[in-house]
Amino acid sequence: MIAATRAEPDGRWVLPKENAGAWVERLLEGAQVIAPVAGPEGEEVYDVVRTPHQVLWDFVNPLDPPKRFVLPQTEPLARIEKTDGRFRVEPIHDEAPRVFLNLRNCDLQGFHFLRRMHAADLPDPSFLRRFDSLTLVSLACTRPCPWGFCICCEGGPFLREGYDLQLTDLGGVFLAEVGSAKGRKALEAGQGLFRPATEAEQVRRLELEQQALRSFGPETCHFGSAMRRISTRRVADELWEAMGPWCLECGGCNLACPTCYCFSVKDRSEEPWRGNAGGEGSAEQVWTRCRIWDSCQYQAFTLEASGHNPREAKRERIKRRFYHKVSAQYYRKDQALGCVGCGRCILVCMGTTDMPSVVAAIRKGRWEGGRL
Amino acid sequence: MVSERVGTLSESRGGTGARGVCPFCSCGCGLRLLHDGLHTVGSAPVLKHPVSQGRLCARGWASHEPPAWGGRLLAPEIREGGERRRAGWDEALERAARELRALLEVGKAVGVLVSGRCTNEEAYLAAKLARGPLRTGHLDDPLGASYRALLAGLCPEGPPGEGGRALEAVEHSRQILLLEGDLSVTHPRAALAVLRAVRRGARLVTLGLARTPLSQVAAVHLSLDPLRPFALPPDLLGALGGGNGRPPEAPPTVLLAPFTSDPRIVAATVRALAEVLGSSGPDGGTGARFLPLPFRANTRGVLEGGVAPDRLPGGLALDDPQALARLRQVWGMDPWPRPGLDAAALLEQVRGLVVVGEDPPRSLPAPAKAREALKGLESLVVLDAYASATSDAATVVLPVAALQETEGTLTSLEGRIQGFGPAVPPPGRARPGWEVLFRLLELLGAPSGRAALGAVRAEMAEVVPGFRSLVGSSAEGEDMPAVARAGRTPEPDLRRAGAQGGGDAFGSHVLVLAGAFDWDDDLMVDASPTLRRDGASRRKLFPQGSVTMNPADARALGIRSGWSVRLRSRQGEAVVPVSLGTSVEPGVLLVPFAFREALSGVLGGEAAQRVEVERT
Ligand code: SF4
Ligand code: SF4
Repeated sequence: MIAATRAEPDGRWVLPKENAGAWVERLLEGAQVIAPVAGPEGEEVYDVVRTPHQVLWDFVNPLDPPKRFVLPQTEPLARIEKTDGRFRVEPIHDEAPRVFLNLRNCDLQGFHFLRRMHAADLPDPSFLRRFDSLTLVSLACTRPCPWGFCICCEGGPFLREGYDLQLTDLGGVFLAEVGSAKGRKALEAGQGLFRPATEAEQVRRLELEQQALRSFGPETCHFGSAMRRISTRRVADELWEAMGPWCLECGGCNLACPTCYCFSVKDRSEEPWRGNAGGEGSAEQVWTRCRIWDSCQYQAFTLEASGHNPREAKRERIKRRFYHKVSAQYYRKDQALGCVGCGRCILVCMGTTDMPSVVAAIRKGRWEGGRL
Repeated sequence: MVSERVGTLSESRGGTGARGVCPFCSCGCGLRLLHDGLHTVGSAPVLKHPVSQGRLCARGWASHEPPAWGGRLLAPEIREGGERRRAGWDEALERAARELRALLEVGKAVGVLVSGRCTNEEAYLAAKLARGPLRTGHLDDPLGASYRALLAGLCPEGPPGEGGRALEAVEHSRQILLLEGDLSVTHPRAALAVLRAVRRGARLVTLGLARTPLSQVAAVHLSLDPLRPFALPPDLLGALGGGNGRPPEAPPTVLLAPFTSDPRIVAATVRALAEVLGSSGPDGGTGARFLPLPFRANTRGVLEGGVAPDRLPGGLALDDPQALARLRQVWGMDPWPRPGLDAAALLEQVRGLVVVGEDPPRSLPAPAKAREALKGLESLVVLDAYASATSDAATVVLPVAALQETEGTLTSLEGRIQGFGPAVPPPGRARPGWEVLFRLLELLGAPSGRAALGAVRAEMAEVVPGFRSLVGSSAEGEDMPAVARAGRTPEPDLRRAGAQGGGDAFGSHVLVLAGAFDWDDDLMVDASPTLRRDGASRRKLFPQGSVTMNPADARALGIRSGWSVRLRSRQGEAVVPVSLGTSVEPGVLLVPFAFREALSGVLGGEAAQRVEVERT
């Protein structure tokens, strides 16, 4: 289920906060480091860091999802060149070593969901190479974020497995739990900066987890009963119909969702950039085949070449989305709910049909207009 | 042989971004534009943006696509002996200036068209080009007439002040009247404001030619008479007040979107609304506040920058002596004080035209006429980032940066002036639009200042009131004009508008053109692989166009979805397939704006016509 190995009992160390910058410095020597930083509008965003002091260690989970770094919105898959009427196709792979630092655990669960999808059936080398060259260092949430409900879907706030390294902020130090060989390597990069955790520090870590679990606010999402209703076909079509006008088909719920991965593939002409890019060789024409994010909430998403659209009406698209995310059938297939409880759909929804609002409506059998 | 290579995740794939403003509708959503140094590759929502607050509609999420995927203009070109060839910047600019000067010298009319997808700075310089060295009032935005029609019913002297908080006010309104085409499509962020108000318990009344998603959550939907929309439903006030015949208790908020292509009808309808809402209530008025909704990201800013046949920069009147004196002083030349023709009319009259970021056949109600007019011009100077029918017909092509590749400001429907910077450099030899207009002004003899965007803005601050406090937004000022100003509107000429109505028994149905603009017809939407699918599939499904019919009418005629009908009006006839939808009332046939051309013969230039409908 989860690619990394279970944390070893001896794998607990602490990083005094004054050493954190030096550790990032060492990580930067061997890899690109992606971490939460302050964005242009003053809010947190994930970005590639250049210097250690950019890294945020106390932050609200960025709205824009870190999935961009494993599944970019525009992802070059191949370069296509036409010379003398002949085509040459060159795959583009990206396996540069990267450390994802201070990932929240809900997003880490989302990463593993994506990996399972891309490894299943016909494995996707482009995704897998990029993913497998990542080291995932999560920072557990000792305070739940205001809109998260990871507690309802095994998404966090603390994890037992799945991370390469899991950090917990104990105050003056970060406690680090090693979850895999990659995690151990990241830890070793900080040789001399970490020390073994004391018994008291390990107890404190457990206390913080219990405290975090107790401090979840009103934002909850009761998937169990919604799943029973969906899977036993006890959700009337009128319910989806009633939600229709409250969804503005922005697709934000899919695009910001850590587990959504629908895409389309298009060829981008490189003609306009040939001069700027330099070194383009002698090809007459050059294209980049790109995978681009798509949304099942867009009307033309399921449009068939014949003109037939099996999900023409908005109610059908909304139904489909929640069927995939919440039904027992998909739970079995995907080995998880299609939701990690990050709460992003609450924030990005151009309407009011976010996950907790719809799950509540499914349970009650009544749509009351969703969230304010 | 296929080889593999290791790519680099340029920092931009996930992260590094430039501050962007959505280039599509006028709501003014903010976003972060992600790039790989060469292409724009992603759009990210911004939680702390005051308008969008972390949300984007489908267009906003794809706002990085048009510049990277669209057909771009890459190098200046000039037409010689029927053929176009690439040219250097100096040669192309000199050629453009020479062509325009030659027409002026022999007294031939020239004009300037500017799109609402230009920046404020570009719009201002284009207006200066027209009223300065080109000495013409033939200056317009092809979608400007429908926006001015909304304002003409409310505040004839210009658009409302730069309040910047109108959408927030909508969200907290108790009563909302929405005159719309389909707000959820035209202005999604404004639609969210309405949904939030309804969720908070507001009473929503929708008014339009078709049933929309928002009409489904409204307390009451009132259909407009397609032939006489300005003859408002008699129960309007009662509907707003709670259906008990009493007028509304709280001042209603009125959102106004152009719902038909004829600006005269739009203006008359808005004026009728203003009269109804202004002449009732205990103190002689309901205190209604109006929010006009321009279509494009900068339709409002372009008007305020002076792009209108009857206004000066700042939206000031042509006969305002102080404004003229100030312009004379700032420009160092006399501003042309006479009115000109609007976009549709000037295309028929001028011999030379400068078009900035626009493809008139896509935005005007009569595309074929526009295409013909463009082909017949002696000089057509086109500044655009994208290739279009207009750039194809150009005598001089001047490639400019797309909005995502330049620095500038846009003015939202709320009057927020928002700045943004370039995410990536423009491709090929394209230059920022303001710079190209600046050089054209110089070549045509306008006294020039410093060639810097800051200098252009400083000049604008002298003549465009909104630019005096060039900050993100101003919390001061008026969000929405009050209804009290309505009385000053001149009587619109309705001799033609709706003339096919009253007492004329011809026709079993009314054929109506939906709205005054269609995003599916937009050049930037067409340039985006994600956004273009809806329009492309509609065009593929109905290459000859289509009309939407109520299923009850289809049953009465014995036809099914996809079957064709013959429509006959007094102007002409056409055979078109029908698609069925309960969004239209029985007795009405709606023509999607994008299909206006297929039905133009039957409509005969009107927004609505009586027609006979027959099975084929
Ligand atoms: S549910 Fe919300 S986020 Fe998803 S497409 Fe609809 S409006 Fe957008
Ligand atoms: S609502 Fe308008 S401004 Fe906002 S993202 Fe959509 S098109 Fe852009």
